[in-house]
Amino acid sequence: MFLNYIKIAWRNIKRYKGYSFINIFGLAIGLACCMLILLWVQDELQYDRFHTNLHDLYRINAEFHKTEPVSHYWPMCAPLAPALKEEYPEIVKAARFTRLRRGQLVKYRDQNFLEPRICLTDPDFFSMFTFPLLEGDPQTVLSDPQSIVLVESTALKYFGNENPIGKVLNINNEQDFTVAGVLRDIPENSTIQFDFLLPFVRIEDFEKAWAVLDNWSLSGFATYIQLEEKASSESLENKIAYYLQKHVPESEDVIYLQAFKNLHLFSSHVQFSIEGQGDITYVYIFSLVALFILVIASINFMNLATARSAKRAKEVGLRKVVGAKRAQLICQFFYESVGLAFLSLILAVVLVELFLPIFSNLSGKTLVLDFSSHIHIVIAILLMTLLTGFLSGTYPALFLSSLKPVQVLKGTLKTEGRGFLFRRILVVSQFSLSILLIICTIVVSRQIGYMQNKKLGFNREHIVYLPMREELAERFETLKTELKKKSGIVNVAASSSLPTSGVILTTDKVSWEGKNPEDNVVLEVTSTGYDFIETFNMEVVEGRSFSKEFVTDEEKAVVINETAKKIMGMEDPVGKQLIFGDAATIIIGVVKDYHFKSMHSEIEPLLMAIVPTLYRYVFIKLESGNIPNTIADIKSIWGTFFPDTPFEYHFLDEAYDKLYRTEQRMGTLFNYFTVLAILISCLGLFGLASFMAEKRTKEIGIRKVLGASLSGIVVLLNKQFTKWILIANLVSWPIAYYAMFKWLQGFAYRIKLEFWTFALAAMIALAIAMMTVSYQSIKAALADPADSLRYE
Amino acid sequence: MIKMKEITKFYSSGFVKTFVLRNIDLDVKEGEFLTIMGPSGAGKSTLLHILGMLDSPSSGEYFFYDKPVHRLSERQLSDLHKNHIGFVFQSYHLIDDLTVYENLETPLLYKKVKGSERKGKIAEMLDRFNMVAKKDLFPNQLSGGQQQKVAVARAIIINPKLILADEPTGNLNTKEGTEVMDLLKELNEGGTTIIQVTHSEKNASYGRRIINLVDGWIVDK
Ligand SMILES: Nc1ncnc2c1ncn2[C@@H]1O[C@H](COP(=O)(O)OP(=O)(O)O)[C@@H](O)[C@H]1O
Ligand SMILES: [Mg+2]
Repeated sequence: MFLNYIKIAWRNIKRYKGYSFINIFGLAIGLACCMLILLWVQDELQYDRFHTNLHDLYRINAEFHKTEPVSHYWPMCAPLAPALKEEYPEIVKAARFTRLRRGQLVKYRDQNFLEPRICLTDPDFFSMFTFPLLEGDPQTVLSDPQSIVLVESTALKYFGNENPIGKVLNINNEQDFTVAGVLRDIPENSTIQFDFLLPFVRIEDFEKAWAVLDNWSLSGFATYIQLEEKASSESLENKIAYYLQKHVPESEDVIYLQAFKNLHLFSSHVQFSIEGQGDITYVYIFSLVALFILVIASINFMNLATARSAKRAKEVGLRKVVGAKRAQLICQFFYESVGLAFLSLILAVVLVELFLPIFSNLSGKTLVLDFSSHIHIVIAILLMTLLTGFLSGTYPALFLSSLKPVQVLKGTLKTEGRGFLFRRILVVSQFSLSILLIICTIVVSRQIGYMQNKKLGFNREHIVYLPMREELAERFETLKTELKKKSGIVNVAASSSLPTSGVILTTDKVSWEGKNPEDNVVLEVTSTGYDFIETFNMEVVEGRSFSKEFVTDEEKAVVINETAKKIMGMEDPVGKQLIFGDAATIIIGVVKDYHFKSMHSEIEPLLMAIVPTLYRYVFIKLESGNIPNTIADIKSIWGTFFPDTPFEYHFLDEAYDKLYRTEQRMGTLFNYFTVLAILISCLGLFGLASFMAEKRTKEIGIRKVLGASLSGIVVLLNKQFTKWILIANLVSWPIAYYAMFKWLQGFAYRIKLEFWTFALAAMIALAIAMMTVSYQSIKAALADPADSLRYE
Repeated sequence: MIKMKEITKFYSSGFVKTFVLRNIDLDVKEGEFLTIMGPSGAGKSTLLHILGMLDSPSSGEYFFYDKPVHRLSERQLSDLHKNHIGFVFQSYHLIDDLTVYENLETPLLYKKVKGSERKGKIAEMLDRFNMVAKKDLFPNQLSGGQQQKVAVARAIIINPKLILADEPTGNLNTKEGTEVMDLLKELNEGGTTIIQVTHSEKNASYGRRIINLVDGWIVDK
């Protein structure tokens, strides 16, 4: 019997090749998209899950309530971790962790590399986190202040096949470290990333200006702790909330614990985001997109299966005549539709294998399809396939099998009625989802474009920046003089931070004449050298910029931004005194507001001062012509100044791209999936349109004989679909509006939701549908009427 | 074998009832060869469908081997039907996507006949109808007469007690028609009850009893 069903099913597939292709392929694309997205989601959810102590690990964060909204951040001061561990027995382990801000020159014999991923941590690190040591003892590996640990691939880079243990690496031509351990390479889905580990106690050797091991006011280090098994994090949190105040009574920071497992996806409210950080919102959005696509594809499948099944009515009747029971017929249709769905699944797996590399690339992850490690996905997909197959078989199975054989055989059966309404609902929901996706795509890509093109308040074109090591700071002025002699260079400046990544210091220790003591003003502080404002073409709206003509400008003068002026409530700030920390400074000018962080946050009050020891970057504004030549000039000058430091430069534009990389990546993926969703919808519509056109061939034939024009016939068929798509728009607009309104709330600077976006989505859907339907109707209309009539 | 009492069939569209069969009383004994005649639209096919349990009457009683068909469930009907009744239509009605062989096999599959026995029966039928060479062809590759022969073979392959034939020769030429009629006669002589609908006096002469249907009434000639 089963064989009989398979034969029938197979011959049906062959007989209606077009439909079968659309049907199977459409569902396969849907399933494949869904699998890809689920792989991505799974990978996000599995982030950091490989640590065996995961549930006892926490990061210490702080809240600062004076800002609106409350700000959260993770950099802590150095003495905190050892002090907490000492004082609270439930903290069994604690490790500070920090990455050096700039690349360091690492030397082994005659090879040297600029290494950007050098981190410092405490010995507890190895027993807290699951980073297996290939060589070395996890208990003691970083106890010696001269020791260094590296990851496997880095060890290979420096030492080849030699045993790395005991080898001596030199950093910055200053310090020697002995390799004490080799770790397996860090998995990609780890928040903690590094190539080298140094003992944390050596921090003062690298970050001279601001890292002091016993200073409770200078912060900058991640602090991880491991609690005793089953210890309550809440009770500890209550005990330590005001711990900082014990050492710094005037501190306003309240510390709390953030579970380590939440670090990757639930940290978007925490300042100073870590590279590669995820966001649970995107996990939700993409899961939803996966669901949409699957629903669209399933609807298609059901729709076509239903439409086509009308052709099977005769077979059903005849099977009943020769003795089939209804249950047997129901089984037959279910077997068939489920079987077809699984055929799609096989094709989908092939598609996934094919497109996985491209998708990995787009999403910035290395994803592999490995059935054994993705049991959840496998089960979910199997169930979805089964369900789709089952649902698509429902109509023929239940409706057709209920018919009396005579109804079918006499041809008096009206298959239109019920199936028609069912299909109409399906098509409308399918198009609603597609239109929803189109609208979201338009809004998302507009917002990304807006963020990238919004006037930043300064000009970032043709600016390269060179990361700079501390000891270079004192020679900066000579370097600048040399550079400015070159013809392609417009201006040179230095600063403590990139204009994309905020500032180096946030302080509320500012006061000025007339300040209301009740007011708490928080200022962001950045160190900018002479010519910084000029290099970036920022506009000075009051007073003047820093100038060498005034000897007092260095360390005695500050420039504030408009927001700061407003917040401090100064009418005429230029010339006023501003006490900042314990230094008395004079405000010499006000710059127009510029964005010094990402557009997720609003422009904050800013204070610019000249503190050469804090310089970390050299910015060079180039003339637009012949940039490669100028870069070569810069490189040779750099070489004469710092022969031991490799030359490293970046364009500021790239830093901007990085700033919005998550959005951009998500935007790109979103685009692709929308196109696919529309494609699948249209495949379905195409199938349905051709089915309808075919059903109406006779009618079209008669109309033609009666003198109907081609365009008349095309309009006739299009009318119906147009109505459906208009209804679909009405359904999807409010949903899209609400969803996008919510999403945009996450941006301090955002586009407006405009009506044309919605209208455009409607037009796109309509245009595509019309093209599809018209193609079919023209084909039907051009057919020789005699052909279609003869067969009736 | 068959007893019908006051069988009525009507179709209602809106408030209008169209009667197709009115108060049909009919007895058929085992082994009979009955012919139903009458003008087009008289309700002959409808009657045959009801007899074959492919359709149900609007009112009246129908006993098949003393079983009250009008009260049986769909499942019981389909059991009765697949074991005792073979149907032959005017327009053959074979399953288009199955070959001759598979079309013959289908009723046996539903009757759950074992594989070897099935093969034997099909081979016997193919042989009897001279269709061995055509067993792997699809219905649309056969002539009308050949298709009708397959349809008859499909009807008798389950050894039914009753064969219902609705204008079996209507679409056939004389020679093909005679072949089919001879076959029915042969089956009847083997003890199978046959009820046929026909317009042709010649075909009617194969049977031993004729009833006339006009406007849904049985009328005496
Ligand atoms: N589903 C139906 N709805 C309404 N009328 C029907 C239906 N099926 C058959 N009829 C009518 O019943 C009458 C008898 O049909 P039928 O039994 O096929 O006649 P015959 O086989 O004698 O030519 C015809 O007038 C036909 O129009
Ligand atoms: Mg008839």
